[in-house]
Amino acid sequence: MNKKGLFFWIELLLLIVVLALVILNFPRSGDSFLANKDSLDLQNLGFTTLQSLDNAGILENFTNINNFAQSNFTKLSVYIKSPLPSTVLANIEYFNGTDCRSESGSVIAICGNITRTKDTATAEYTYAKLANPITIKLYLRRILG
Amino acid sequence: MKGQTWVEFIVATSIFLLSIGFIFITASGNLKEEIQKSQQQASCLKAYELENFLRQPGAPADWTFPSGFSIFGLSGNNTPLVIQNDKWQGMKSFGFANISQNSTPSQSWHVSYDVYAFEFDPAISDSSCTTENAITLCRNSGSYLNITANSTSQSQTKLKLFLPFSSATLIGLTNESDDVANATSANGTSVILQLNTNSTDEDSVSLHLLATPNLIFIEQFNVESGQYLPFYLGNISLQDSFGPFAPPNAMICDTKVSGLLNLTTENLLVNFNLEGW
Repeated sequence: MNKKGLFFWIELLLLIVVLALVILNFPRSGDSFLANKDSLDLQNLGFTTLQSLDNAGILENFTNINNFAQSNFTKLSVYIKSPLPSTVLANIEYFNGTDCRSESGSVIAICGNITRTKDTATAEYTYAKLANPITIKLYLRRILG
Repeated sequence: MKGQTWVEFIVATSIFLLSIGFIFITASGNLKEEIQKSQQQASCLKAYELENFLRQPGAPADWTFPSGFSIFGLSGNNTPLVIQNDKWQGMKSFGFANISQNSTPSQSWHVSYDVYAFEFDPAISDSSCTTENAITLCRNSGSYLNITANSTSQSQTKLKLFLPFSSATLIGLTNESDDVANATSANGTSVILQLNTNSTDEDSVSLHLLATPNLIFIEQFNVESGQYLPFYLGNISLQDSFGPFAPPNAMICDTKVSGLLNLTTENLLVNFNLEGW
């Protein structure tokens, strides 16, 4: 049996290290579905909540069909936020095709110009009780997210 | 020189075996994690599939118990997520086995709902209210909401109601010194109740609504009791579920959607919790 030199063992050790690194860094199966599930669920909950309020006649009740600017935005925002879990922060915007309005009903330059973290989910729901359909944009984020 | 070779051999073999062991343990740990993620993803897809049954009326669209259906669905015709209460009750009457045979859900699912808001129309008065061994909200005479906790064992009921843009006064009917009943105002009235009941006890509070809200929200409901105490509006259950419960250690995935429970005369706003595993 021939005696192996120092470099042989160093090369063997390096080979094992390289092999270990390769095996341990194989691409992992994508888990983007699970990583984004919370956000998707929040978006779905926001959308279906707005849909339920519309089906129950609440959105129509506080919307002025002749002049959207005269709608009761305070009541709209309370009714939209009340069904959401207490652990969810919500921002609301309204868009009628021309104007974008904040939660309080004041006109703002553009919709979506709010601080949004990467876990913010956006639910958009359009209801067409007017000549111009109204889109409610609901920005949702979990407090403990 | 021969001894030195054996030492080298033992050292090299040890390093080799330790390295292989390390790689195997780490890789198998990752593999277990991957398997769990795959199982959870499959459970999530199952939970999301359940939403279809809340969005479709089924076939025929007006199926009833016991005539049955060829495609399972719980909503009204062209009204996704507006669940017909008679279909929900029909589904429960069929029993789990028949649903499985006649439709597509696999066996490992559970659907439940919690009512989070209800209408308070002066025209609506609950003619019959189930109050025995239950927590009951009973609308009365167009401007009163009677809240009753009845149990045969030591129980504590915590309930928080929110009446948007409405004012209300609390009237103690048979509440006791250990009960808590508060009403605070902010964009409406919040009512916080804590009713402590014991054996053969009934505590009742009445809420006089001075202005009628469009909806009354149930913001919190919790019962600590040795017995099962259902939660009713009149005689309609505000919490219900269907399907088997998940076994221990099941890889459960759940999702929530909001919808309506249609009772013919009115709609209740509900959150559905869909579980798959």
